[in-house]
Amino acid sequence: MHHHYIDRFAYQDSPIHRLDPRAKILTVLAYSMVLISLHRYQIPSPGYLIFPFVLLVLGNISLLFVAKHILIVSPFIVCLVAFSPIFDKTPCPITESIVIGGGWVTAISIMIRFVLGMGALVALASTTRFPELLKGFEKLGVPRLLVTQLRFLYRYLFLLVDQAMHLRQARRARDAGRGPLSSRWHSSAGLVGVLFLRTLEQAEHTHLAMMARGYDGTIQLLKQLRWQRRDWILLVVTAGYLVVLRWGNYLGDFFGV
Amino acid sequence: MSELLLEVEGLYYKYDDGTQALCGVDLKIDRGETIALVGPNGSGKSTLLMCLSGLYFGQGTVRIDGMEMTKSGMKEIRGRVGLVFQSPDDQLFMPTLADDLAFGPINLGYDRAKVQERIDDAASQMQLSDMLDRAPYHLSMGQKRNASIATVLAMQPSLLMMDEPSSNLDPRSRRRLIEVLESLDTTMLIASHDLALIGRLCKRTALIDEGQIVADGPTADILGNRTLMEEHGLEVWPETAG
Amino acid sequence: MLAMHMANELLTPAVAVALILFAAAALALASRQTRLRFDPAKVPLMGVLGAFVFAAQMINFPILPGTSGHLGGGVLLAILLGPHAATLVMASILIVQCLIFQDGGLLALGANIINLGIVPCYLGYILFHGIAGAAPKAGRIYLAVFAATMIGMVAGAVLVPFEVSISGVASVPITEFLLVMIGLHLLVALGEAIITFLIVGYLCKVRPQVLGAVADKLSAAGKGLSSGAVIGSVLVVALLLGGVFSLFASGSPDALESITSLEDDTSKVLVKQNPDELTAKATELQERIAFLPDYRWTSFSGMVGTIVTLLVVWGISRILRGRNKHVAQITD
Ligand SMILES: Nc1ncnc2c1ncn2[C@@H]1O[C@H](COP(=O)(O)OP(=O)(O)OP(=O)(O)O)[C@@H](O)[C@H]1O
Ligand SMILES: [Mg+2]
Repeated sequence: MHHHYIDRFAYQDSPIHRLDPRAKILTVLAYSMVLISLHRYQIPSPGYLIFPFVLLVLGNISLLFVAKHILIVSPFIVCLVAFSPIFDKTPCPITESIVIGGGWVTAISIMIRFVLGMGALVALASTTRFPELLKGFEKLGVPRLLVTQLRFLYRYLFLLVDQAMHLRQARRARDAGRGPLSSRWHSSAGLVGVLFLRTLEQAEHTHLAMMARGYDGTIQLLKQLRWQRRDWILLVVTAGYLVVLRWGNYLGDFFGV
Repeated sequence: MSELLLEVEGLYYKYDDGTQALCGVDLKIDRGETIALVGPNGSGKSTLLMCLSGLYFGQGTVRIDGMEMTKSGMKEIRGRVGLVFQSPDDQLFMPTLADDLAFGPINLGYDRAKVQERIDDAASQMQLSDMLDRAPYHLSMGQKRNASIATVLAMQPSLLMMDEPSSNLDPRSRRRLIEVLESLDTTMLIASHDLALIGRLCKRTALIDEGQIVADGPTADILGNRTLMEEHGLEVWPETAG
Repeated sequence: MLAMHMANELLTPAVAVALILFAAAALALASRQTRLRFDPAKVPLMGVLGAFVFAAQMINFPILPGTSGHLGGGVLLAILLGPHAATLVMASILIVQCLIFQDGGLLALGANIINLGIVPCYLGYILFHGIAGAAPKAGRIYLAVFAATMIGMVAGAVLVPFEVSISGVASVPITEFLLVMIGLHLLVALGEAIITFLIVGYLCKVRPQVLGAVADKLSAAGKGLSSGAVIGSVLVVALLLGGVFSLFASGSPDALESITSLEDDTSKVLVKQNPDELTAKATELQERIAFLPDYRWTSFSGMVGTIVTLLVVWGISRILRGRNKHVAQITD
């Protein structure tokens, strides 16, 4: 599994970290939407780089980290896109004299868009603490129960992952990572089973601890989000930027430029 | 003149799987007392605390401030009994410490100002004032323990119950915890195996075994009684033996 | 094991939004069915169960030296908790995978929740209970788990090519894509089925009471998995894979292709833009550029098929060898 501790960047501080999560969510969504609305034979212009690049750089996120991360999540799309050139040979002119198969254009376009979209998503996730992100989603209309559920998931994620590692080590101490497949499968299933039982126990205890403090099904958080001028600025600037990028040429035609 | 705070009469509790964990517990606690609950593993300490905080309901009566604890009547009683669970991971589940401290008071229906006041009080009592914005699970074990206690203190319960408050603490954190608990003036019921902690904090000790209170009296008498302690699988506290 | 998370870029906005709306509606329904709103204990439970699945995925099930699989979780949860709760848990996992680990895009969440959550959980649940019957023996339970996992997971995976080709962004012929997805997920589901059964069996043996109502039904699973069942399921999967690959290799005319008529309109647009002379040049050029000419594609697939079959056979032999040496389980 590639679940390294990406969360850590979210605890830094930067102008981007300080933005309201809602502003970041909305702009990243809009940006992703514009990206996927491009035609498959259309290669995003370099201007599309600006949005993720600005967020990441101002957010103090290492670009190397972003690149590594994108690489980790890319195998499926790479495999899929690699077949495009085989199946789609519609001629596509790049310049007057260079013409290549449409499949190549699609493949390149999808990969560029994938990298850009991922860049934006990484920027969102690594400049916003997860609980804040959830607050943002909640305020944007994602149902409360789902958000609460996600809070608990996040709260107990690292705890249970730690337990899983301990169980794994304990087993390794006994079988040295060897042994016939069938017994290893049995022991693995046993470890997962133990983990499941502990999970139920943990959930039960947590619930009792909540009951002891008067839990009645709703959870209220203390600090509410504060939408500030800078959030408006981000929203408006991004909106303008996206309109120009995506529909700039139509606008140009319209105004006769 | 002491004032009766908690009264337990003939309390029985049976788990779903048939384990009879409590078999007729009788216990009285006065306001202002600090009582230790000792007993071997599986004797029913945790179960008793669960029943006293209105999380489990068995047979028999439990009265706090003269009000009987029933499933339906817990709304009024909730704020009067507080239980600190053994593992801070059970107790701390909110994104920030401040949120965790606020959880109880908000559920008790207090307004913002009062909630804030409770948070500040509890945090300063447990020496956590500068950590309110931290995620509870990023605290050290000692801080987590203090935080768990603070979450309950924020509700200002009449009776503060703790299940093994000093487990998993290193000697220094444990010493600090004892000091902090000494400074509180709440009525406390502490289930623990930590004889030094009990000796420091509790004047009175109740010994529970197989779901019954088998001895109840001054701490020195109980913990120093070799035959009694060994009969119930415990050790004498060297400082009282003699 | 091998979660194929859909990416934003394979979908068009309309498809992405439609899938998100559908997933949201299904989740709302599931949430109502689990009565989350009325039973406050369930909210933390669902959350912690999501964390469990992540943690469980840290535990490896070795397949070949250097390769191993892990629990996916959907069908296991559906069997243990029912389809509604399982779907909610799977959805929360996919959301966290997207938001924290960026596996799968935000706009593709709808697709991922449907493919990896809703379909495997509901279909798996129905199939499991349909096949297991009232008081099943161990063999029957295994059969039910096997079928539920196979069909549940493959059905979810099969949606991917449809979603991709309805969107029409990536130009991969749907038939081939379908066959590849089915083939891969047959293998994945084989592992998942065995893992699921072993875990269910372990829980039945150790703490049946936590399983509540399903415990009685599943109790026979505690007896363990016979090697016959494993061999049988490996054979079934090998046969199915054989079928898939022969379809693949035969290069059957793309009947499904007609569903997506995108091919025409885009090429039309482009051809119109191109002066004739350019088109001619292009066709000539493109022959040189294409890195795998058509005819090689079939033999390529044949090759893949052969390799996979060899691996499966090798896997069987490994499993059998292990079985004989050490019947004792270390888990007790
Ligand atoms: N959830 C449960 N389900 C069934 N039986 C339980 C449960 N929890 C505790 N028991 C049983 O009830 C009895 C009392 O347990 P309890 O946890 O109250 O003991 P304890 O005094 O707190 O022990 P320890 O010192 O180990 O914490 C034991 O026999 C135990 O096995
Ligand atoms: Mg206990």
